[in-house]
Amino acid sequence: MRSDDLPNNPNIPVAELMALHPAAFGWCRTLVGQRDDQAEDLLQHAYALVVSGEARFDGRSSLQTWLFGVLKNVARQQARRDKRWNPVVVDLETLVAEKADPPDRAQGISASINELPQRQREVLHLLVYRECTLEECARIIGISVGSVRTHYHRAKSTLQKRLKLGDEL
Amino acid sequence: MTDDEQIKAHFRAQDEQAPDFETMFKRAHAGTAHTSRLRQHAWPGLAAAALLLLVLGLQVFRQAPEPMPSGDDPMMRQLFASSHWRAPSDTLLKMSPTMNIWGVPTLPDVAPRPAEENQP
Repeated sequence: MRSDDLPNNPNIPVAELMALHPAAFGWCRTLVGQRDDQAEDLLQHAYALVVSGEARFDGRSSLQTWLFGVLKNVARQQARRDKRWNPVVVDLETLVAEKADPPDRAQGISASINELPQRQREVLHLLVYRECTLEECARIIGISVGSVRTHYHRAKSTLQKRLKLGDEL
Repeated sequence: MTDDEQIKAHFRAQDEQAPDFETMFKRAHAGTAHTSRLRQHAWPGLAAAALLLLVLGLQVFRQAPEPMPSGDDPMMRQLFASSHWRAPSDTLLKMSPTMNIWGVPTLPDVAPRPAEENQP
């Protein structure tokens, strides 16, 4: 890939964007609630904005913080649109299977994370997995640092309650 | 594996399902190029079509027939008054009250029965 692949966004090194790609997809999955196709659509849309220069990186933050912020904004727009047109689909078979067979520890943790409210899941992803600072997390999601802290503590206590986790989070 | 590590493993598993970067990046490039091509080539076409519609609309408007004069038109009233023309219904109805203006009988030409025959 050539270095001049992004003429509308000259401050973005394509190699760095490529290195961030898996993390960006994981973040999309957290944003859309584990739906692969929607996560891919979201990422594709964001890449189109990056390539066209409609989302411009000016180097004021790290590339990851900026890209995650762009993805969050695109997800917010799509969620607003989907709320108007798409009904909520509940997979009954999965629900029945989950009730019938109690999951093992790893599955239980995954299920509990997926059942967290959207904002708490996002905060957990950024703070625990990405190890972002509170300020970076607040900037990406577009909320205050205090709200980030609140969401984090709520997520932590919910997980502890559900899974009887230790105090290691 | 501790619970903390399991939480990280959950998110790591999400990352690992990422589709191919090159494909998505090329698609984004192609989409942008397609959009810009559309922008470049569609505008002149749309402008030409709009101009054509405008010219056609003006032609149609120019060639539209004059509205028919109504009965209240003073010029037409003057024209009728100065001629010997009369409405056909006036004369025809005078000739035969049982005929309409086209000469077709509208009532049966039968004399009514005497009044005494109608008595029981």
